[in-house]
Amino acid sequence: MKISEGDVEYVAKLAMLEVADGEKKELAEQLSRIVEYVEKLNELDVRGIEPTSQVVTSVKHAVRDDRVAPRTGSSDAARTVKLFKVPKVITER
Amino acid sequence: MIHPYEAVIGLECHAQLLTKSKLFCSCSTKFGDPPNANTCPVCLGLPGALPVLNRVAVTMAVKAAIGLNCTINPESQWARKNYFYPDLPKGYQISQYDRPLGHHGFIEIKLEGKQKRIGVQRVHMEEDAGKSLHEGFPDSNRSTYLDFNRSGVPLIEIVSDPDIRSSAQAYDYLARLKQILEYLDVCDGNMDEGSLRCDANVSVRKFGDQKLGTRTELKNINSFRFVQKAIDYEVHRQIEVIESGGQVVQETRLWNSVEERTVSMRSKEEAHDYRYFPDPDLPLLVVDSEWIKTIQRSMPELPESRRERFEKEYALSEYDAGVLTTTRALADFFEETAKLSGHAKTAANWIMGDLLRFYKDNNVDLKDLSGSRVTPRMLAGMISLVDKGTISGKIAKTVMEEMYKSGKDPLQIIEEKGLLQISNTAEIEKIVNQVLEENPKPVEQYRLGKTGNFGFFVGQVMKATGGRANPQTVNEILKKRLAG
Repeated sequence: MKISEGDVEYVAKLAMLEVADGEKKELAEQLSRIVEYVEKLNELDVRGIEPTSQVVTSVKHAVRDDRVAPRTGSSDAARTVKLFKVPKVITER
Repeated sequence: MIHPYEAVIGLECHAQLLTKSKLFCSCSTKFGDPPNANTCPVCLGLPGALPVLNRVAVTMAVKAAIGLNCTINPESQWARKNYFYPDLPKGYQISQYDRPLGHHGFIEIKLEGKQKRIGVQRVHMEEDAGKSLHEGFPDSNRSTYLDFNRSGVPLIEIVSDPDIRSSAQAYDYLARLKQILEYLDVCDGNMDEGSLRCDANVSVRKFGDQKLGTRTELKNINSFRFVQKAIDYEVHRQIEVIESGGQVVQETRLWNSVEERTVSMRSKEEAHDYRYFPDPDLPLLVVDSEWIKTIQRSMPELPESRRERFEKEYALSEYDAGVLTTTRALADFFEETAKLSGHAKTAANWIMGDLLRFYKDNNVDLKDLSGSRVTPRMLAGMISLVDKGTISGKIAKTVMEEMYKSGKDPLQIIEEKGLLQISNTAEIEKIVNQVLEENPKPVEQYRLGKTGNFGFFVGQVMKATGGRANPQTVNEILKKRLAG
């Protein structure tokens, strides 16, 4: 699969990365090579093999009780900060 | 002329689950605490922090999914929904995507006697984002402030099929969804505080068309009053666009409740590409049949079947059964009163008439009647006092009001206020005689055949006894004495 410069722009935008015009061609080529490498998997017959999304498969679900625990560690940040401040969000999501 | 267009509507609702702690960490979910008081590395999205699932949140979500007639996926999966917004500290929301917790359910709605089944496409779990504060600070023109108390609070998203055809249907769907969630005790259904939120996908098409029109997504319709208005406005707007030769643009629109119209959300061209992928931090969510069975056993009777049962078991009208099952607490109140008094219909009348009016006048939340001064036992006691003839129905109204005001037992009220019914024939005869003596003219008229003024005499006797005379006895004696 060929990754175009347009794809690079699109992905960069989604990832909020700035990519200089001069870099796009090079990145497109590199990304193409990576995807092509993964495409090797298409040569294998994977029928009947469960997709792996997690590396730990022995744990079905680790759950906890619905109990409120006292805050620890870096929640100190919250105690001193009170509110977090970011540059004005102009657009509504 | 037949309106040539029909609306096609689907609702996406978010319901906040009533857990004590958040979905993936042990921070409190309490509403109204100081900003960021309930945060930790997990819900602040600090590097290295790992989520651990809240079991009760899953139980509640399963309950809701079952209540909405969904099939439960024995294995569902957590997925990351990626987007950048300051209220989302991790840069992704933990949600569910291609393997949601529940799917293929439905809600039965009923409008003007017509029943309709609205499909529930899916019910999935996800975490809430934080809250952005855009206004109210000296530098609000330059800065946005963030409170992450809500970040990580457990939600379920309930997505309907595009089966809804009018704003009235949308309203009914939402009302029933809210009622089911409240019955199940999984969400408080409070739209003002945001514990139940709703977006609507709206499109129009010519009747008979199979293809769906271009849809817009309506946001910010977070009040029951607005759901109907916003949809009506939007349907009308889309028809006008099409009729004037234009095309509906697929976009997100915000409901402006002040101007009562929807406005295009002129956000920067934002790709709706969330690049979902399975969350590697969380194993598959396995809900085995044992767990489902345990949850099923704990399910209360839901509004729909309770309504039907009330109609059959207590011979109530559909309307009465509907009112009495508005909330679980009210339905419990009625049922207990009916059982204790043995007079279901009478109990229904007292509750729907006087009691509900008192509650309304005093802004009592019908979801919680534990603090009601009138208890089912008191009301049942009063009903049987009327039944036994101890008090008249008219006096009962006074007793009812007094019970509501003071919380006193009906018998105590009757004794204290001297409201006992007079059934003693001799005593009533005395009063009847007195009334007849004082009103010679009407008596003469009656005896000349103008018997239509009989009620006048009854009224006079009642007045003389402060409404305490047994009406049947009064009637009998009056008839006899007036006959001459």
